[in-house]
Amino acid sequence: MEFSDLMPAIAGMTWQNLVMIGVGFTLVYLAIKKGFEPTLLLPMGFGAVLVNIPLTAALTQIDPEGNVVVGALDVFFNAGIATEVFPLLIFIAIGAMIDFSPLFRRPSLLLFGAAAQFGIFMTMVLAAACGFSLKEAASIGIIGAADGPTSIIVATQFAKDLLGPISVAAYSYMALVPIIQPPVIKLLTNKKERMIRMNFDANKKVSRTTLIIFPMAVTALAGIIAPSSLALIGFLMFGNLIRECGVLNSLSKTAQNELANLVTILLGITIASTMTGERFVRLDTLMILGLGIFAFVFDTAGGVLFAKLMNKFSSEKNKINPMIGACGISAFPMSARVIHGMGLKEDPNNFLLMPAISANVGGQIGSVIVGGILLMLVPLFA
Amino acid sequence: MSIDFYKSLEISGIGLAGVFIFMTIFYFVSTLIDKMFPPEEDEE
Repeated sequence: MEFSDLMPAIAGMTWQNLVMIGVGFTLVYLAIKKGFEPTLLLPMGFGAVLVNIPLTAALTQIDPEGNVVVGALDVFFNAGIATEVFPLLIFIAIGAMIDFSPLFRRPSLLLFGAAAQFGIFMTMVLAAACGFSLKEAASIGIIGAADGPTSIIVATQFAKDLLGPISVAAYSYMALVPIIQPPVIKLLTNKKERMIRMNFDANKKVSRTTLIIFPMAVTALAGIIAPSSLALIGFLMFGNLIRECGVLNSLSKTAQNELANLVTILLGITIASTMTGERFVRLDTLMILGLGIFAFVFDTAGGVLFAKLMNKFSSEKNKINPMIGACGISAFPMSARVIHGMGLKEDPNNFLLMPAISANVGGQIGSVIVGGILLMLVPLFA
Repeated sequence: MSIDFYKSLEISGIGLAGVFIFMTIFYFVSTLIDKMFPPEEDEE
């Protein structure tokens, strides 16, 4: 009897598997010790270890008799990721968590949800210049949406092989917003600009009817203009309608808690099924991780520069603190908190939290819209 | 540069314009809904 018969897992171990097991432990460490998006990075990290042990029963294997033994993670992948069911369920949960009322207090801040998507397109162009195909480039660019489920949906449709690194980049960089955004903002603004106090009526009341009509109106409009965005925006707004209708409080709480938690567990560990050594340990992965940072940097720059542009045409009373522009990304509420903190550092009496939250909510809508736009445009050009 | 690079530039132009158009429409819609259904009316 040979060693490989006695210890097939050790005998079959490659250096790529070992690297990925190391990556898995690192993700678990970052999740537990550093608090980086633990709900996703911990299952992904653990899953990475699980799928990189040779002959793991978590993935589909062929037994010595030649029979196919289907692995649980492959079942989850085919049922939940390939069909986009898991990310869409997450959208219902996110929708149920979002309070759109800050948007109505200064609706013009919605536009930052468009400006701060600049990084998605810049990164797509950069990725195409680096030699990625158009569909791969779009999937890499969408990391800049700072929105995990949107990234997963676009990558699942356009570049399934890159789903692992794209998901890791999207969720890791969302956790790194407090590190990535401040230097970019400081580079593009001066102290005077960062001290601008904004005219924002935080106490303005918004009617319940308005909050109920808004998700339905957005869904109808998105459906008419870009039907391909309808699954994304529709599930998000459906979750929000459950929250705002006032007659489904129990469902709303379930969506915000149990549904979000259950699907997040499955989503994280299922994405890990794509993180096998032979698929992940490649030059492509490093390039994707690098391009992902570019996406976040350009997003931030796009938002800040757009705010500065708006200030050129605004009256003194309606000036916008350009840091608010950086909140147009979808990383909610982390980006708003970062900007609020930066504002307080410059001026301890300048409270930017509410306008920052408004822009951040706009970013959540904007990122989903861009996901839909890419799903519509890329196949027309590819 | 590859043909995909030029296509990605084209998509970026259209996409960025598209998202601005979307958000501008949402801006007008949210302003309109807010004006049509003020909180006082709701309370009545």
